[in-house]
Amino acid sequence: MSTKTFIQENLKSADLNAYTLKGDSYIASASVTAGQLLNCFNSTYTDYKIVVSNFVATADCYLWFQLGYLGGSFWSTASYYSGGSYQAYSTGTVTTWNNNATDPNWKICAGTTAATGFPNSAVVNISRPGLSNYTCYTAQSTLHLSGGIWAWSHMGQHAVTTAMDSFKWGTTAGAVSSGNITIYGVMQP
Amino acid sequence: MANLMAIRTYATSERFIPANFNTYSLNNGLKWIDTQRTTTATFLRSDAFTTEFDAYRIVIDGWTPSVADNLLMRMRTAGGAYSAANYYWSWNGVVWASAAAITGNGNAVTSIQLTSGFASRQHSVVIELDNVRTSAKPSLQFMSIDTTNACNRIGGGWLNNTADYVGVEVFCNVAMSGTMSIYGYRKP
Repeated sequence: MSTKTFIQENLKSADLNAYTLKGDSYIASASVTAGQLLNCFNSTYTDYKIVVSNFVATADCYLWFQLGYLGGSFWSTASYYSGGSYQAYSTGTVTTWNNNATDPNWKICAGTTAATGFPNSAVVNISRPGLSNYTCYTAQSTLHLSGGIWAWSHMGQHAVTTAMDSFKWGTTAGAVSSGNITIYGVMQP
Repeated sequence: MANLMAIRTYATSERFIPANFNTYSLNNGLKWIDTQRTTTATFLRSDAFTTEFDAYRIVIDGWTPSVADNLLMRMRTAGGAYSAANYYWSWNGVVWASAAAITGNGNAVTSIQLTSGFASRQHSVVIELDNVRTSAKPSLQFMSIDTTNACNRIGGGWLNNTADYVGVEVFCNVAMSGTMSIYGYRKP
């Protein structure tokens, strides 16, 4: 698709529809205290990007995502797989990490208290959640905890073919204090 | 429950309503903010961060040092580049020829190293940056191509200092060419 340069002309709805859509389209945003976004995966998009911004919790923890369907039911069985590595800023030492369907969710980024001064963030790409196939994700995120700080790269799969329309999140310890989660749809023809 | 934004489909002969255009067509998704280019300077610099966004994507395209060097990054406040030794970063990669693992890190240093490269070779870097105008400590994730080590890099970093950061600069010690574009992630 080319970039449309409007000149002195009558605005045409077809031009607006064709040329003003963006590559990543905003869908919704929620405070991390909200705990979920319902019906955000739909037939408009196939792939999505989720940005976790300035996440702070009440204790050292992980922020996790869990997929949902039928507008409010969530898939809580141990059907989530993921793996990756994280490397320490202090030494560069790389540590591998995996979840072989032992957790009922995907761990996305770390969380820690405001007192530590380490707000966490993540950019997550989610592929095909709304289709009747396995859902995959890739992510880069921060692993900032009171005991150390690492860069974290990971990806995974949800081994269930049910079409998903929602996701929720939570922490492995403590509670959410602040931050935002925003979802964007990746435009497709 | 959060409101979900649909794609606006304008109807034929629909009356133009600025509010619809502003909401659905102009202010949508990942928004381009600024592009800086150089063919001779030692840096690319932009003070384009605003409170309109919390998170940004920075795309560095075709970074080409005139002499082999590292590409570094610093945050900028209204007073200029922040260069105290409070940056932390690490990356890991895989060497293309051998598939060997390779790593790098900086611990309380004066900048973040994004990549390294030989002269006259083009390099690309994508940075996801967060916590910029929120009086929090900025953090970032990045991916890059490293021709010095002939590998990919995937890593992250953090600046242990709270300030109102209005921009960013990437730089090296030699003349370079390249382009830096900045995009903001829309928030409500």
